[in-house]
Amino acid sequence: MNSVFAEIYEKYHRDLFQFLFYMVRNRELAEDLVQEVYIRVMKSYDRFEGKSSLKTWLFTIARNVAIDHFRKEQNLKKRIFSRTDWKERKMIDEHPLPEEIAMQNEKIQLLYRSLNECTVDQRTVLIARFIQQLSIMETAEILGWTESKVKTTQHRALKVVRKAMEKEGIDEW
Amino acid sequence: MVKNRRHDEKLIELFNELPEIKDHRSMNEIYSNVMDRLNRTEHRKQRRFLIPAFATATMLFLSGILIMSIIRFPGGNLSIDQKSEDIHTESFDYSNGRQLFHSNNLEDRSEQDKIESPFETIALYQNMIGEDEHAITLYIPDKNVQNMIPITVLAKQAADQPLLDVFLDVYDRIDEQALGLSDFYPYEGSISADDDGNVTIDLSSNMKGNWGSTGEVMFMESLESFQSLNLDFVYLYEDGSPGLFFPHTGLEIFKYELGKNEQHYPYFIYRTDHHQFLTYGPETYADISEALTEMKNNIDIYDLEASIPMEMEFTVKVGENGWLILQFSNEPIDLDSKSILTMIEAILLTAKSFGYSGVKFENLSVKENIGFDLDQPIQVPIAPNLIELDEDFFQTDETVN
Repeated sequence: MNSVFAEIYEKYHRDLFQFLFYMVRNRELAEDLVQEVYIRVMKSYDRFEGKSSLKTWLFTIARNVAIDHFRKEQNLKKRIFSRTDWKERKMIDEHPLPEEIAMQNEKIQLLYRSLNECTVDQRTVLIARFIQQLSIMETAEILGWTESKVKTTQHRALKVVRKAMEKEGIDEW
Repeated sequence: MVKNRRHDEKLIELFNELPEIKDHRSMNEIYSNVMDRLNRTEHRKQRRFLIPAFATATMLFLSGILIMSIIRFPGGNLSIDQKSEDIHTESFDYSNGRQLFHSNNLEDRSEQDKIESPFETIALYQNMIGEDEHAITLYIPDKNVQNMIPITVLAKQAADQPLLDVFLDVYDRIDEQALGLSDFYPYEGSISADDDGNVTIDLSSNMKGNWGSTGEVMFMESLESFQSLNLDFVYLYEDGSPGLFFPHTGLEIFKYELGKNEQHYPYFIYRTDHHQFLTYGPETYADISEALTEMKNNIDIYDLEASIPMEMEFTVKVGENGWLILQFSNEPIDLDSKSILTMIEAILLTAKSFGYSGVKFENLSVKENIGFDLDQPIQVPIAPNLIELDEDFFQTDETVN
């Protein structure tokens, strides 16, 4: 087995998978995307210059993989949905609750759903900061932002989630 | 403000309660998958088709990318059984790998000129179609699965051979990776056609796990291919039960209506390492003038190149017979002949997408013979990106059950 793969898997696989899962909200898709992360890493590891930590470099790649997925999905959905006759079809919740979330209490389920109210950048910041427990500096490095921008986005993201939850009648935490 | 800050702190604590999500696969399994995907760029995936003798029989197949294969042509209703009886082609020569044309019909003068032209056209034109040949256009995703590249093949249909067999046979021969395009997820299922020609696609629920949301949408888009069988609908089943559920996209579809797509696509250049294709862009336009103007710009995010040089100035009007007329300015433009030919073909394909049957290029000068008589209106192509199948390739690389 490739030593780079083995090292990254041992140290970071759990975090990368979880990051991608909360980004795309789908287990099968996260499984596919985390493999794409490894592919990109193995293709470009020789060019990793160590200017950032390995950890933030990996999360940067994972974030780019997720964004590429959203971009492709949007493009393809736009094409197919623009010519979809909805009369013959039924629309259901695009992201049914995964088993792990469905087992949680209502407040957690709602928090999970509220993530979808955020922009991709806002969601990335919330996941990085409060699920992956990355620092402001690390998050800024992953996103290529200033720390100030991370703080501002974090503030706005929390506001979006808070309002989404209040809208569902949850105002006590 | 203080209340909000307190709420934010509580909210952040709540994030800590979100469950940890684990990947249930082993390290070896993931490594194997990663290496498979890395290796797939090196080796073409083998496809296995089992094609029964009767059109009514269920066709079981394992395919690398049938879901990506579309015979739909965005510029019009291309039919798989495009007949050649009304075409004034008197001889047909495959000797140099491209079709050569010899005709006494004056309408074919521009095609006759192609004999002397050093340039090859990209698209398929009507009088390139030989007797008993059928134009089959497969839509294949590019490397980034952003654009669907229409690839056209001329295929012969044997007596009593179902059209579906012709399509599967063509698909089986195409090497997407050699074209610099994308291979995709394998899937298994069955396709059956009843006596009336209605097509039912029955897929195994097991294979959908490989698709992801992109694959689901691509599959739905691929269903337009069945327009070529002159169908209005295809019926979808899952494990023998009516209705196919797409968990990522959130759709459950039983009766898929074909041909609902809006047209009006501008065409752009898409390049791979060894090929140049013309394909439609991501946006549609109500007005062809707007579409033609857009064709002067690259669309970087989709890796699409402008098909009309920025310096080209022209006005657009509709002439008699409903043909489109592009009147170019008198300003001399120093462009190579190949670029002008590509531009002409992109404009022709775009015109077809807007429902025009031909285009007259007025005041457009070109230094060399590009195979078109610019003094006459040029008929729009049948389909974009004609390729020839490499007979040797599929004989040695394919496995047919």
